[in-house]
Amino acid sequence: MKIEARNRDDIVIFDLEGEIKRSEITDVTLHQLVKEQLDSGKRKILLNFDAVDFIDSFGVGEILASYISTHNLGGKLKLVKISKKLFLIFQVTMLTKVLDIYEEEETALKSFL
Amino acid sequence: MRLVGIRPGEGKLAFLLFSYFFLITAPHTIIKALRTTDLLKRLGAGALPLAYISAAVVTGLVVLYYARIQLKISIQFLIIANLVFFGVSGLVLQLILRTESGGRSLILPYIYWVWASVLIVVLMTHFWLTVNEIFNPREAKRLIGFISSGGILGGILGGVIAGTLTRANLAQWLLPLASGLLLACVFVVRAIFRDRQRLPATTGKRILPGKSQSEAPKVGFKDSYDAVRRNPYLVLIAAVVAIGIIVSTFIEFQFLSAADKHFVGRKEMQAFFGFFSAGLTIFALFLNTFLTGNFIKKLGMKLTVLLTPVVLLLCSVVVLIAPFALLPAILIKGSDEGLDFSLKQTVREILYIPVASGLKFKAKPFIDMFISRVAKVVAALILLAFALLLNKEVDFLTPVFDTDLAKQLSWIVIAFLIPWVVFGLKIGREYVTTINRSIKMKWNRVDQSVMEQVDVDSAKEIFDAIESRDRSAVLYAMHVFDLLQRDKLTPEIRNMISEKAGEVKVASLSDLFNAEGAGEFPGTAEDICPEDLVTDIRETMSLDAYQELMERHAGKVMAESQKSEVEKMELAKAIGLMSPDAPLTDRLVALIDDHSPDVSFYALKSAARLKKASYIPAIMSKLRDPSTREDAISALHKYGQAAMGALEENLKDSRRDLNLRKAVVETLARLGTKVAAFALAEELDQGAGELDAEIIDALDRIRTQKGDVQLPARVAKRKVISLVHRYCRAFLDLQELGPGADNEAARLRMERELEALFSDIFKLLGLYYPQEEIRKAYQNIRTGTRNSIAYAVELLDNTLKRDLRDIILPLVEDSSPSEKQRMFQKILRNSQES
Repeated sequence: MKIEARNRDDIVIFDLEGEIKRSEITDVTLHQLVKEQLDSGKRKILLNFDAVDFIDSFGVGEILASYISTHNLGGKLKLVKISKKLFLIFQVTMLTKVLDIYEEEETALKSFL
Repeated sequence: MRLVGIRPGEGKLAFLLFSYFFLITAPHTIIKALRTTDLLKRLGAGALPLAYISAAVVTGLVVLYYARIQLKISIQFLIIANLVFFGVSGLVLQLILRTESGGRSLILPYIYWVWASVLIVVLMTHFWLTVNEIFNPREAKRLIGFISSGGILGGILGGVIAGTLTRANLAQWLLPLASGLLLACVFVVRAIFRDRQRLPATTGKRILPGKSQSEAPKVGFKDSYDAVRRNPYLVLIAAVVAIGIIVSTFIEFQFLSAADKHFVGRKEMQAFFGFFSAGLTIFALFLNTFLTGNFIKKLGMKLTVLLTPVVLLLCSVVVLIAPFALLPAILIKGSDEGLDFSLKQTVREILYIPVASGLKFKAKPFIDMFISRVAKVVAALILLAFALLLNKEVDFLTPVFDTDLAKQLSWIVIAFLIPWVVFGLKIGREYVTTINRSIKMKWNRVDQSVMEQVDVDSAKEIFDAIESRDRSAVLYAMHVFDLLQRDKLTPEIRNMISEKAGEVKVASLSDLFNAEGAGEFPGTAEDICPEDLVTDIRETMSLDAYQELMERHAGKVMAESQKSEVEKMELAKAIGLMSPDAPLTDRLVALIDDHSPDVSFYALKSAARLKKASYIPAIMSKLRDPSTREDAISALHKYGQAAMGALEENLKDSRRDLNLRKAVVETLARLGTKVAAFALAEELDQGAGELDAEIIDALDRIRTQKGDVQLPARVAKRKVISLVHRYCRAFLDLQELGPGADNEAARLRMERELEALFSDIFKLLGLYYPQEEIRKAYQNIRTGTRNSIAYAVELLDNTLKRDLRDIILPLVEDSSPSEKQRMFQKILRNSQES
């Protein structure tokens, strides 16, 4: 899995690519990367799932841990461009009750304002 | 300027308010000496109750009138109109007093008394309303000493002038002089209103309503009365103010009775009142300069509100014990008025500060003007009733002069001081509560709410079921079985995970069981009866034949290293479905240790189900690896108390991998039990500090979920002090860091460290003090507006105990970097000395 970070004003966007699975992780996990941004004072995080095919239970754990760490500091973590298939699973598993999910990046960015 | 707490930009406004206060108190002091002498010499001390009642009734009517005209005109116009009115009417009064009939009139002393009473109430109320609306609590606390000194200076000069001119036989110029000062005040008030209009919107509070402000709150008497009645905090303020007025009235009666007895000539009496006022205000100045601020700072509002009644209680005892004369009367009057001008007034104004602006605008004039007057009437009536009770002669509401009446009045004073202390205790507590309510929690920890909203385990199971669909029919079937067991196989989930449903599900389970001759399995998802299925599978797996069969299969899978990862995953998952005493479960340790994170994952999940102690070391070792850490934490969490021994051992052993120990902290946080909290607190206290940040966060999380978990005071205090010292050192290091791009990385690192330390200090404080209040204070200090920061600091000021307050407030006070530098150096110096 590849993760790249970019900034739009005070919002950090993580572009995720591949599958978020325990067998796919490199040295640094998504949660660790989010925590690094939080440590540097950033409080608005957007996870871009445009190039994510699938996630397993490890990926769910990473997203929720990132969400909790961000919100515990008064920040906001949102998701964008999730595939329809993945969104459906998020709905069935009730993850959408907690996670803010947007279709378009611009809408997601505006929602932070 | 810094000495008196004035910061750049505040100088002009502070000086104008200082002058405003000076220009109303100087004439007031002069007029007070004149009107008191006039009344005592013409009518005697016995006339005081009727004078009090008349003044109170007229002031009450004035308040009602004000409530009406306030709806129509701006506050600036109102203040100026009043100053002009009192200035001009003072001159008119002087002319009348100098006429022959004026000199002989028995009514005029009452009119004089009433006029002066209305003057001081109206002008003082407008002045404090102005101060209250311009400054927030922290600014007020800082500047109120300087501004009050203007009033005190006015009192001293007014008294000296009254005494000196009287002695020099120039008393006839006193009233015109007082009127002139009131008229001069008009220009100062105009300047204040001009200056406040230039204040930027971000500094200061919403300021005084003027005519141009259409939203300015305009209130009537009933609005004001309802506002006070419905707010318990305002009721308490009103009660304390009323009792204070009643007590002061009795004390004044005692004092004036003693003066009436002591002085024969008018000139001596008037000069005495002048110089007494001057001396009194010097005393008040001393109190204000050296004690008021320190009392409030060191004792906090809770105890400071009790000082006045306690001092007056002691003085009343002295009056009762000593023979009735001028000296003990001076002692009690001096204490009452000295405290009134300094401590009492400052405390009263500070008590109003946390009250919402609109509410304050309704309530304050009502309490200051109306309640005070009612209290004065009540005091006069009690005085008369007491005179009758002691069988003293009372004629037309005027008791015949009797020193015993004045002396015995101390019993009534004491009787009122007791409820004053009780209300003082209550108001001290309510003050903190009101400050607390004035700021809002900006966010909460979400650890628990996320777990409450989402069944995370089931959600993960669904993701894994879908993920396993294309990988292994056996795994897929076992996931379906898990969901069935959890009663999570709803029609939506069934549809979601069974795109290939029918054949895959049944075929895979059939593979597992039928291949070796196991029993029948339901044909379709719709036919499944969960209870029957679970029973069937449990029974099947317990069969000796099945165990033998699986043992042979496991042996092959484990022995052949080239065996596929998937087969090991299937085996690990299947073991989890067995009984803990099944021989095959011993194989799970090797599967947990497997290099493949996926195999480990399935093995860890099975271990969490079987909860055998023999798995714990293997699970612990998986805490090191980021790919299996979360699964290992989750497994240990499910072990609960059974894993505590191993968790504590790993937590305390500093030779263990740091990431493993951090994961242990996370596990204990999730357990969230008192035992877990105790283990964390112990490590925080005795550990080397490398886990401090994680432990503090874990304890913060546990306390959020279980409020009864509290860090021992000794540990909390020691750790807070240690973190504050680290914060101070980091701040000083940052200040010493030179400018330039070379130092940019170091600066960023140090800023992050400061932020982390600051957050940890507050989390620690929240483990000992009320967590919600501390968290609110932290959040508002970090992200609040100028005013909410001030309220947050005030909340801390009144919540923390002195030892910690003295080192925490310098961290959060709004001060310049150089001021902070000095304060932090002092904190570090003090720590070295102690």
